[in-house]
Amino acid sequence: MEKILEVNDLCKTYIVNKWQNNVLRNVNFTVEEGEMVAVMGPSGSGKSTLLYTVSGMDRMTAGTVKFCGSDISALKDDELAKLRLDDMGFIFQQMYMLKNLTVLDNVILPACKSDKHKEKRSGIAQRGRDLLRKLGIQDIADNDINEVSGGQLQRACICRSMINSPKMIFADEPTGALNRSSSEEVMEELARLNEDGTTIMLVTHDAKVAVKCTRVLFIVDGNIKGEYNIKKEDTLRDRERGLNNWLMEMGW
Amino acid sequence: MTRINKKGNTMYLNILKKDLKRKKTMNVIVLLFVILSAMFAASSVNNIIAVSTGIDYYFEKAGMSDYFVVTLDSTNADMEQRLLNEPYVTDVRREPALFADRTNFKRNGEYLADTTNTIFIMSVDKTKLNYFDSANENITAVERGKAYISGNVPKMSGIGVGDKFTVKFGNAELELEYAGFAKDAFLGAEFAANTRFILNSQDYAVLNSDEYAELSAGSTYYIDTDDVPALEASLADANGILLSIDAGQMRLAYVMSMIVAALLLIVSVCLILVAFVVLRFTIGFTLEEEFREIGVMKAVGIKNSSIRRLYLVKYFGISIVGALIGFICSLPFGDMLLASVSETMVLGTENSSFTALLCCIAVVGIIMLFCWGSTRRIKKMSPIDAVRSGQTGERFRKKSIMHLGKSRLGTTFFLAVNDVISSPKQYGIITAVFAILLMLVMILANTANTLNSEKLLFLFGTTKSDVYITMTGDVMDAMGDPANGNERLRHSFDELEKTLAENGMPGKVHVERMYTIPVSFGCEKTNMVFQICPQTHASDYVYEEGTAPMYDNEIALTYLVAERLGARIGDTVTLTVNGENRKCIITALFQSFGQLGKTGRLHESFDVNGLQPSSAYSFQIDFDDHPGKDEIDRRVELLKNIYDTKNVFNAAEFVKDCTGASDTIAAVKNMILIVTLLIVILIAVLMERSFISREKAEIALMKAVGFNNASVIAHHTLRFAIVALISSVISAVLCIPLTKLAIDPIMGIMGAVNGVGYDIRPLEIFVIYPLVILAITILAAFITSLYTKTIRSSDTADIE
Repeated sequence: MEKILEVNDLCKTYIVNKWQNNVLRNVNFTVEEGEMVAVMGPSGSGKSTLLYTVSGMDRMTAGTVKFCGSDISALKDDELAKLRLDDMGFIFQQMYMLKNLTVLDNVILPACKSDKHKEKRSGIAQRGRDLLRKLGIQDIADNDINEVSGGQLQRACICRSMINSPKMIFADEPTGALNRSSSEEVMEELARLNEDGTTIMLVTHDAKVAVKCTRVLFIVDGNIKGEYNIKKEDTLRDRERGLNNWLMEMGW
Repeated sequence: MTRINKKGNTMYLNILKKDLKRKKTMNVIVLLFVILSAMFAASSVNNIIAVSTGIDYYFEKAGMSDYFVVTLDSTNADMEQRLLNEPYVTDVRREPALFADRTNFKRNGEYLADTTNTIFIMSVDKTKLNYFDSANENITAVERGKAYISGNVPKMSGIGVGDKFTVKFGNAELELEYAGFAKDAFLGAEFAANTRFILNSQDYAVLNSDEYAELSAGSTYYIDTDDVPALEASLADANGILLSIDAGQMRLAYVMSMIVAALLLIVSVCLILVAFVVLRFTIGFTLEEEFREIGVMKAVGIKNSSIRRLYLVKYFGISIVGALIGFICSLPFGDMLLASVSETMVLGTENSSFTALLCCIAVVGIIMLFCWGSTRRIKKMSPIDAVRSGQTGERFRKKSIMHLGKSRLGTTFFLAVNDVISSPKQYGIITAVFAILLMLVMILANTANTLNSEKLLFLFGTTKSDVYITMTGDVMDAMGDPANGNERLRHSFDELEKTLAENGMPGKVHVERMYTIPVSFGCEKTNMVFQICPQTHASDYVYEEGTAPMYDNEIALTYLVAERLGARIGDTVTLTVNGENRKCIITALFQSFGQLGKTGRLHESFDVNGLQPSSAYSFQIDFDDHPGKDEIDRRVELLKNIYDTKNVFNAAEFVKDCTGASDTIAAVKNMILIVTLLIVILIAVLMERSFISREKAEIALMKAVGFNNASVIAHHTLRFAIVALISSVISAVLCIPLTKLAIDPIMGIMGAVNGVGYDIRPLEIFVIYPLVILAITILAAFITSLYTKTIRSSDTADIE
């Protein structure tokens, strides 16, 4: 397996009212192609900051982040935007979408903006509909975003993150604003995407979400305190038990 | 209880303090719009009052009378006694003057000004009217060696206070210093614009002592009467009257100032509307931003009335501060708007500060009403709004009409168009505001251009000629010689034709002559000015109804005269010429700006021998070789040199010279264009800034999914470009009908009762102004949208 994400001595410092807040302190880890990595940790530990920094949405203070071998800290804003557009997908806790567009238009927006696939609008729209069908929400394609449920909207966000066939998807607590059943549905979809070969890195508080992943990073005070590999061959119950025990060891 | 109240008040203050700090941008935007509203309302209401009461106030302050007569003393020495003998005349004031023309005044060896109108030289202690200086102070004394000047000479000559010039009257000569501009209620109107030189009595005596003064002495009689029609009828047979006019008609001479004033009034009303519409929108907009807070407050158990009071207190505070600043700004802004009108008139602005203050208080009241209306929704909101940030899921509009998947538009352009279509109210208001402002500029431009075009030539009762040359001196000579007036005029243009031939541009010369002739129809009797030109045919002129006079017993009248006499086409009126009554049939009605619409036309064969012309228009030249425009312009310049005068015009310039206000209106148009551009910039900047504040989440999301800064900026700028484009199209479509609607009534007052054809210049109206608005909007929106650069894709994590 090739390394898709390589993080070395990553630091992120915020300065608020002359106070220096070191949110990430010399973080080191790698993600290999096809992995599904969960980042867990207590509130304020730097999980989301880590996600936004390694995905190029936020600038790092020090260290290096290599995405597919290229150092993203050396990229200009426009180059980072193109990288996010073509090679990365994003899913947020709040199901952010443009309110003046229909669900389908929101889904295909990145593809229309990108010249990666060089296809006609009708072809892009068809791909968007196929994705929605794949996630079982084809009926809401032409709905406005305030006409659908949170679970449906989050699945539409997953479709949007997939539309440009990204090399990696970053998800910030994708189930955080969903009820249990919607949450499970969304995680099933992400797991299926991962099985299809998409690399995923997600931030979560929920062990039931993390257990769907292949590896868990535990972050405390801006440092990775430990990591846990989940054995796919184990039963779900065994995986949950193993993860919970590990989390307890980590002080969860 | 008191403790709870105290705690509540402290909490209120804390919430307010936090709100003002945290929502600084939106609060500043509301404050700016309050300032604009207060400023526009206060200055505009003041202007409306000053303009609508303008003439009444000015006439009263100047001591104007009911009727005015101007005569040459040589032909009307007994006029004062004659007037005093009339039973319905209650008072007569005689103001002596010496009548001069431009040749009497020189500065540095050149004529002081190239005016074509008669100039009155007067003594300050003999004035019977109140004249005012630029500071609106009554001119009661003039220092020896100084002179105040009214009318158009100061502007034409560019003379400044303290500059010297000479007056030569016969053998008497004086060097005088310009003391300042004099506002003259009787002859100072732009449409009349006769100039007066107001001198010290000793200086006047020097000029008056010359024997030449005897021939040039004249008088203005200010007559108070309780029966204007009877006085007018009794003066109908008086000879040698240069001007006989009542106060009502005199008001019409201010029509050009009133056009400007009326346009300002329209502008003022529009500015008030624009300010309130935008303010209403902004308040609604900012309250939407508060949904989350309102939901949270409800969730923690704060009562509806308390929440509502919180916002009312906040907006009350903002509106008080805004209204106060607006009040201060309104004073210079109002003066700026009125500057063009108050140049020649004394306007009543004594209570302007008080009125402005009342307006600002009213603005605060209106804002509170807006807030009261907008905060009604608080009752309907539930704590869940805090979670949903105001999105209830309810839909009140149609689904998106456009679909990205089916559109051929570029993604960024699609997003911009879709946003405009999806929020019709929001962008509709901005479009309407831009369109109103653009239409104002277009209407003003159409008016200024029309008053400066050949299209109005027919309204001055002249035919179209190649060149018009105004020779006041020759006309004055003719008028001053009752026995040989016609011969002298004939001689003048014979000389002119000779000069033209000698200079290789042979042509025919003719002149429209004016004769004051008493006319009666039934019991109605009036003294009116008829035009005749022996060298043209009555059928060469434009009539609105009927057919041109074909015989010497046929005449055409203007609508205003026909109405005054109660006569119609086919009626026979009586003209008294040299004591002989002549019956004439009215064959046509027409409209005219001449004599403010009170005129008629005689057939060219009508016998005017023995009648003294009261005036004449410019000498009109029709070249034999029918030259093109460039050659005409060259010959105009040549004639200017030959006759050492600037008063040689082509047809369009002649109309401009006659109307006299096109430059003023063009200046007002330019001022309104600047005001419009400032408002457009302000609206584009403030609205875009509030959109950025409102759409922070969407901007962050767009960046997160891969839109670069340029795309986001283009998206935001394009929305305003689309709005400006739509408003330009709306303005272009509506500008012609709206110009007719707004300006035709004003043209009607001047005598064009059936309206006029407007000179619409497509390049200026449909290309340049829309492009200027478009460019300014795009520039303002673009610069403001650069602020989106500060929103990062990672801000999606911080958005509430």
